[in-house]
Amino acid sequence: MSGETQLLEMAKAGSLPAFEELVSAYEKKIYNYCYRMTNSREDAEDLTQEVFIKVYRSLKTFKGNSRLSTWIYRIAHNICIDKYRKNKANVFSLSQTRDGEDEREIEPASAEPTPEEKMLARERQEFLQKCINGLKPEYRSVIILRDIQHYSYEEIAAILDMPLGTVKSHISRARSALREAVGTLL
Amino acid sequence: MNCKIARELSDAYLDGLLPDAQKREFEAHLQACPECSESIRQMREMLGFLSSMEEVEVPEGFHSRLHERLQAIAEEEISAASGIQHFPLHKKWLKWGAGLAAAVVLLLSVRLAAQLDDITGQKSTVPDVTTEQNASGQSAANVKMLQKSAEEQGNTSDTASDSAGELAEAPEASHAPLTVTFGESADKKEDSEEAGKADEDGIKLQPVESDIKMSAARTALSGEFNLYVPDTAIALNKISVIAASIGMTIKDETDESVVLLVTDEDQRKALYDSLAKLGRVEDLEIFNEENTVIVHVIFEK
Repeated sequence: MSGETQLLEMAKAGSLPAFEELVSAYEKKIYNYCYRMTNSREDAEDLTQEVFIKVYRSLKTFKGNSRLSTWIYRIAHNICIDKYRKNKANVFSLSQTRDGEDEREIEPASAEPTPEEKMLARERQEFLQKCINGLKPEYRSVIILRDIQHYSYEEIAAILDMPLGTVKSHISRARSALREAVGTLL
Repeated sequence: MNCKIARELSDAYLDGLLPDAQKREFEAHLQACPECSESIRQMREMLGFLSSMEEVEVPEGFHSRLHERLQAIAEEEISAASGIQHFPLHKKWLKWGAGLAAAVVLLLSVRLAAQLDDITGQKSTVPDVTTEQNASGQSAANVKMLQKSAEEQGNTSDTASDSAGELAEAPEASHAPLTVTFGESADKKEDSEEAGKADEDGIKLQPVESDIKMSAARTALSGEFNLYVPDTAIALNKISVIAASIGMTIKDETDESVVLLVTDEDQRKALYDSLAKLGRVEDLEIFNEENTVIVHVIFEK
């Protein structure tokens, strides 16, 4: 952690290599967060770059009141939400999935790890991802942070800048909504 | 425990956050209630699938693309910072220079008025510093020039005003009502209080004409702009074309900036308008050598 503090100070003083090393520890998590939020690798890259550019520009104002990771996640969350608001029309519609022929052909998983099963697992992931994208972004965000990336309720509250109680109710409602969207297809 | 409470606690149960006693109670309810039990089973299965969702790798070339963009921003910040560094110094000298020059003009005007009184034996009015300009030469021009520059930066010329205040005593001593030309400061809101004070003291502020204005205009033509564009190389080429089309000479050129010589206000305006078509233009409000405009071309998506 002291290494991170040192890099942070160097980055704040204007060292680009220090900054790049500093954020390299977060890039995969942030990229995955953006990917799960958008279901598009291309958008995820654009957004992740935007996140780190914003982090770079704002680093001087980072007081260290929250953890660096929390702060970066919060920036990522805000950027993803902005993107969602701008592109509302492009958001995946839940009804499309539920009525879609392909999704209806997915069969329940068996215990055998055969190539077919692997393919099925991949399809299941894609289907789940589509269902996640059908959720409203606030719910999407808590599902990704809690159930995919395994952050604690407290960490999520800090990232989303929400009271713990709101995070709990968001998680509960998001899971119920996702469960309903998934139906019996898993 | 009933089903309603069980539903409320289900997330805490699934996340392993229930205290032992409550957990046992919850599980006892699941044993007794097939509906809640099935609901928890389905939810647990879904969470299992979510949990096993694989992380995707950051795309190839991500780092170099990010590095390029960060590098551009770093350079932009360095160039902006260098602008800020000499800005306060510039402003400080402008204030000081304007104050000193104003004091010189006022002093000479007062002395001239006194001399005129001595010669004519009656009170006289010095209508305009243009008379004074012949005697004080370039310094009078500098007053206007520096005054204008200082005002353009939103800076009230405190030193100059203070000097005017101090020197306002002089006309009374020579018993001569004095009119001193003092640029356009009376037009400025910030200066209205000082101007009022000067009026009380018998000093009226009027605009300076001719040569003084020309000299000021030459400095006002200078400047420094940041031009934000998505492709800096293309923008630099376009600036060369623009300069040629409006008859401007390129004094110097680097990979990031162009130094141009401007001959008149129309040309400067044409340059600004053309730059604005290429991208976002930021006027750094920095004055350079006479007739010199520096354009920094900065990458911005």
